[in-house]
Amino acid sequence: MSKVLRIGLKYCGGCSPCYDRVGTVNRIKEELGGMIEFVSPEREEAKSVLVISGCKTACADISLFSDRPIRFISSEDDASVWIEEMKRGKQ
Amino acid sequence: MPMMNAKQYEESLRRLNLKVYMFGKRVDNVVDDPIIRPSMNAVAATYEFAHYPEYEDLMTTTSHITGKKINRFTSIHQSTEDLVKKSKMGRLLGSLTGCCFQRCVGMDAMNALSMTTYDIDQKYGTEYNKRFLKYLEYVQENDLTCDGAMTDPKGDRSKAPHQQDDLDMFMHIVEERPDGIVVAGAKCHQTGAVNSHEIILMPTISMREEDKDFAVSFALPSDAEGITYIMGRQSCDTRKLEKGMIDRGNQIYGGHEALVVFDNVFVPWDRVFMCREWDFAGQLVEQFASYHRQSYACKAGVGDVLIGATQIIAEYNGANKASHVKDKIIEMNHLNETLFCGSIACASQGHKEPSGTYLVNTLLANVCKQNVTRFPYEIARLAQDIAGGLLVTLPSEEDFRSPQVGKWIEKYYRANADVPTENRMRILRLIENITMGSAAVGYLTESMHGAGSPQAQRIMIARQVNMKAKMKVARKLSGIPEDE
Repeated sequence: MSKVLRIGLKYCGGCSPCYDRVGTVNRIKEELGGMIEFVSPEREEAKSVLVISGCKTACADISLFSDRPIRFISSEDDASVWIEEMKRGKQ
Repeated sequence: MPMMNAKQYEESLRRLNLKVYMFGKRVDNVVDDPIIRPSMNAVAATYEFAHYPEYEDLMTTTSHITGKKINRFTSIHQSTEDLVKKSKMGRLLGSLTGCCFQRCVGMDAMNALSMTTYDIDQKYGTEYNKRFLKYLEYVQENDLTCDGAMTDPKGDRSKAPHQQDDLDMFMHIVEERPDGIVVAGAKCHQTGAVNSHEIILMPTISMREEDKDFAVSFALPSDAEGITYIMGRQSCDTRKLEKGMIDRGNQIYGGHEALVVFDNVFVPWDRVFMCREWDFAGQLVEQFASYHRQSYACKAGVGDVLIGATQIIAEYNGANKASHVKDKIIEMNHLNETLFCGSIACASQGHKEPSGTYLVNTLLANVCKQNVTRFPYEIARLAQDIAGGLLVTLPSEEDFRSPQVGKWIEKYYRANADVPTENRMRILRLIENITMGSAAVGYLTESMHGAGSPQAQRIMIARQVNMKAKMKVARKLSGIPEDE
């Protein structure tokens, strides 16, 4: 049984998002259930960070974890691509 | 307590002993009063959402004093990024509450004081900035809501403060003691006053030397001895006392304003931030006003709610596919995003002041607010256009619930067969609430007069544009000699 991957989850503040950020994260959790677990990005066990940006400005403050790999999601399509990548990577 | 949540904020208000009057009677329980409570809910949202992962990037920041995580409303801007995030936070909260959430004015007062106290000290060798920073740390450590109080009654507008028949028309120093000062006067239109832990006072206009007793700035606990609050009325305010919730429009949130009277109130020296430095009154007013004109990004957030409601009523009415309706909603969005543009622009073009605090571009902040004095009215007009006349002729919820006539309202006010009549009533009441009900205080008239009436911005725009440069280029391109 493969180990669950702990990924830091960081949202932008959501001033005027172009899609439902929380809904998209819930979709990711559903589709990747058992493969990943979202944790606070400030925790060291998060080896990488997923930044959920409401638009392509991607203004979230990433200074606290800029030393780790960061993947930006700025749309539902971005999320779909990332989900597929994760699924392929796990197979 | 670095960051309170909504419940902790509400409990903290219960510990205050405010002297509040409404409808001629003292309000014994301010927090639970049905007319005031929705406004408390809106301030509480500024605490609660700071703990939501999906909002915290805007709602929180790091204290430049302690390095701790704090609510952004207690912060001093350390970069243009901070200024931009302030604008975004305003829009976010407006879009979540559909009303004025009241907490920006204290943040704007503190940021303005962080600069003016520093500049006074540089000129006069005083210690106002040190005092202010100690006070700021207290506000941050306790996550307090501060009412930023600027607007004096002003009495006869043709007279300076010292010329008024009644000197109380402008807040002024009546006595100086070894341990502090005694002040008298009043502040009008105080947004969120009875939801605040602290009240921060500033002069209302530039002063001359003759007016030096009126050049005063200080902070007090909101329940300090001698302070009395008289609640302002709002259109449809007593609907909150009626049975049912539909006719309120906004089920959760609201705003409030109050007249705040200072009847010979003592202020200890450690809370005095300006005392007769009349030559800095104008700077404090202008810097506060510039920040507060930026703060009106919140109206774009309220506009988001109104546009959403307008799209819904168009669909409920079956009119959403009409080309003119689509075009009007595009226009509403265009105006709303233009409001946001101004706030973002003045923030991104901000600069560092000698104190280290970042200030917005003041020309663009005034342009931003000038748009705010106009566009929400046009957005509201378009919302009413699309909503239709039922917006103002709809019977009450009690009639809708009536065994005798409710069936007729259900029958005759149903439009789209798939939509319950009650839902149509609810969205119409929300549009009414924002465009002419209690939330119109914030969305319309406050947009007109808050942070300065339209003419105040026009004076600042005229003063700050580089007209000579514009004329020089025009002369050059049209072949007019430089020395003409």
